[in-house]
Amino acid sequence: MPKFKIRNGNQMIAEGAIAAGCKFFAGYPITPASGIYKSMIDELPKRGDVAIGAPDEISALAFCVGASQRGFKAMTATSGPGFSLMIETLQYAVMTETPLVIALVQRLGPSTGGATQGGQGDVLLAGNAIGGGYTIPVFSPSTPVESFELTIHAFNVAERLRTPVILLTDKEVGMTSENVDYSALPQSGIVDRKLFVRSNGETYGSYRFLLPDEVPEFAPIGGREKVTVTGSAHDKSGRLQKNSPETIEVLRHLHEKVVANSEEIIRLDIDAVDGADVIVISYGVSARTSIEAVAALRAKGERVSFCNLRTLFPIPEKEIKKAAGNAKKVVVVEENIVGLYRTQIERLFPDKKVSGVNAVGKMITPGDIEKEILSKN
Amino acid sequence: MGQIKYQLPPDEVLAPGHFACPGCGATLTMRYALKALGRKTVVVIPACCWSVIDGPVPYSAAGVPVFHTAFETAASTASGVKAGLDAQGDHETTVLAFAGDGGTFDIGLQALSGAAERNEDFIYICYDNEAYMNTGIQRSSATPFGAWTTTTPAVSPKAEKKKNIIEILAAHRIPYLATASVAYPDDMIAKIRKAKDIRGFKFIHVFSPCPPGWKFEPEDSIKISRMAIESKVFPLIEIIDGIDYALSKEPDGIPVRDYIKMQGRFRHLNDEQIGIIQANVTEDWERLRAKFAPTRKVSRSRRDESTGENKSSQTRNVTRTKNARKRAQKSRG
Repeated sequence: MPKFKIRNGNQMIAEGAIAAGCKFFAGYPITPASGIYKSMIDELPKRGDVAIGAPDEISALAFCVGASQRGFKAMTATSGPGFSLMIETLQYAVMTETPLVIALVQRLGPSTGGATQGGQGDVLLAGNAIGGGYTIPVFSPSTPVESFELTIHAFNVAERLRTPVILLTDKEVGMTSENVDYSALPQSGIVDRKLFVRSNGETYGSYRFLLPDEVPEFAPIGGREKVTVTGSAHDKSGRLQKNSPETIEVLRHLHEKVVANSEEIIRLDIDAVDGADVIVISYGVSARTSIEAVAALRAKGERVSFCNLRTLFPIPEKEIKKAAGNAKKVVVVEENIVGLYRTQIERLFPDKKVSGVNAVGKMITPGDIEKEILSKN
Repeated sequence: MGQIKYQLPPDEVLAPGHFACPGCGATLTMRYALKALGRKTVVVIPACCWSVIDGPVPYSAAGVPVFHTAFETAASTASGVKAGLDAQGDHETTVLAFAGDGGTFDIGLQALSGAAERNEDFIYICYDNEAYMNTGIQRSSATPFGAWTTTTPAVSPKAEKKKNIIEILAAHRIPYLATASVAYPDDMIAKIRKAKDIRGFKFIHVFSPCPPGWKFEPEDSIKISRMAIESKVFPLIEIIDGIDYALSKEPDGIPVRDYIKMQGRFRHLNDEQIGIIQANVTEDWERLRAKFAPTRKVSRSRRDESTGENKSSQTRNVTRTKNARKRAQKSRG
């Protein structure tokens, strides 16, 4: 029996976070992400958990780092201008291997941009926000249901890999309400970070691992173990060192633990057609439009495959290549001027024609996409 | 009470056709500020209601150049604009930073404190509507105890007192600090003009009612502003050099309840909570009241019974006051 409620993406991110075990939220007002802040303020205190208004975005994310280092699953939500302020602390979270989730609801940028105008211009900023090129997982829901599902997945990945994770949505996905069938909501398991359990007088190191892709066991700061949380280059115990072999090993591990575990991070939605001539690749709100365009062309007998990039980083190279098969043309649909994610797809297909459907300051229509798919150029 | 006649400067620098809600205190504040400062003014506005109110490009209601800057940077950007004008020999143009309470009390406090400490020569007006109104009524540190916002819901309204921005700025010992209200345009304009004639950092805290955010009818904006003053919720004061406090208008001392009852954002409060607010207001007023004693008088009476050390500190106070007065009289240019 279907059980419908009217929900938008922001509300479903809040519900997904709570389902994933999020017990701490710090928010700062910014359109179009304020709905998540409001939902968490309404819901978390009822459960005895904490939702708090921060005096700025730097504080909001630093709140989350502090709470997470005490063992709480923590989240904040923002948009482009606020995310820009969070980047220092985001890098700190990478260096300190702090699990947390940032919901980044994109609006028209750069800078203040258009608070009430959608956009998909922060995709490479989100994927490349970390100095040194360290990858953080970036997920991109395109519906309220995916917002719910990917928020749980985001928390699971954050906990499992002790890493910050970005949920990249946009104004349209975040603020557009639609029917959500709660009886058919995807069920996911919940992952908690692996806690350090002392045995035989073993001492604790905040960043200890054997193989580079292993994730250090967690102990909360202020608990039984001596924990050192530091954004400075450090060895496995958290001692500040510039470039000792062990410190370099830790830095390589920060990269390795994400890349080597790509398969458990990556979630794609592939709708491939045998012998397709064209594959359409998209994410977020533009994926919704693409689905409509692909369906219309299939009804007219065209062979078109479709890939919804629910994971943007680490880049699902293998999966995208497989989905494209022998298609001669790849069409990447996204709401930014230059085709940001297209630059990442182009290098995967040196022998295929890769083109883009782009818009800025307005949404892409199914007609725009159909035209590009059928174009012989 | 007879009819009040205001002698407002006739030039309407702020044009009609702005984007504000009816009854907006922030918009009246801008209107009076521009009347006081004239057209040779650059306005620096961070993210706040006024980044929308001015109108979409190419339309601008403000009649003067508007520098829309990032949320946390009003005081820093204004410092830069002023430095640029100075470097080019333009000492005539007034720089006005015009920010809401979120951009002043919260995210912009660091930049504000830096500009105050450097004693930058510009005017900073905070139009305080006691929450993040432009993003949909979220609490700020200027939101008063007990108020409803979307992030301090009626079931658990704001539990903390409003941040005392005036005392924070007074601690910076800036040359001129004042509070003003849209209920008294003549007082506001006089204060802004006085600020214009003083060199160094000037901060004016304006009580700025918000009908949609506070939940009252737009036609009651001025009435509510007046009640805030009369109930001692928002006293009208001036502070010279962070030390010399002066009261601009003696409040009638009406119950805070009368002020609170006008606004939907306080509708959920019970008698006990209103009692807490009244007690807080009374306590804050008493604290403030104690600072109004004229410095000269106090120093004279204390000198008789104080040690030599105290005497010298009191003398310093008097000297500072004299300097401030001199500075206040000195015309720019």
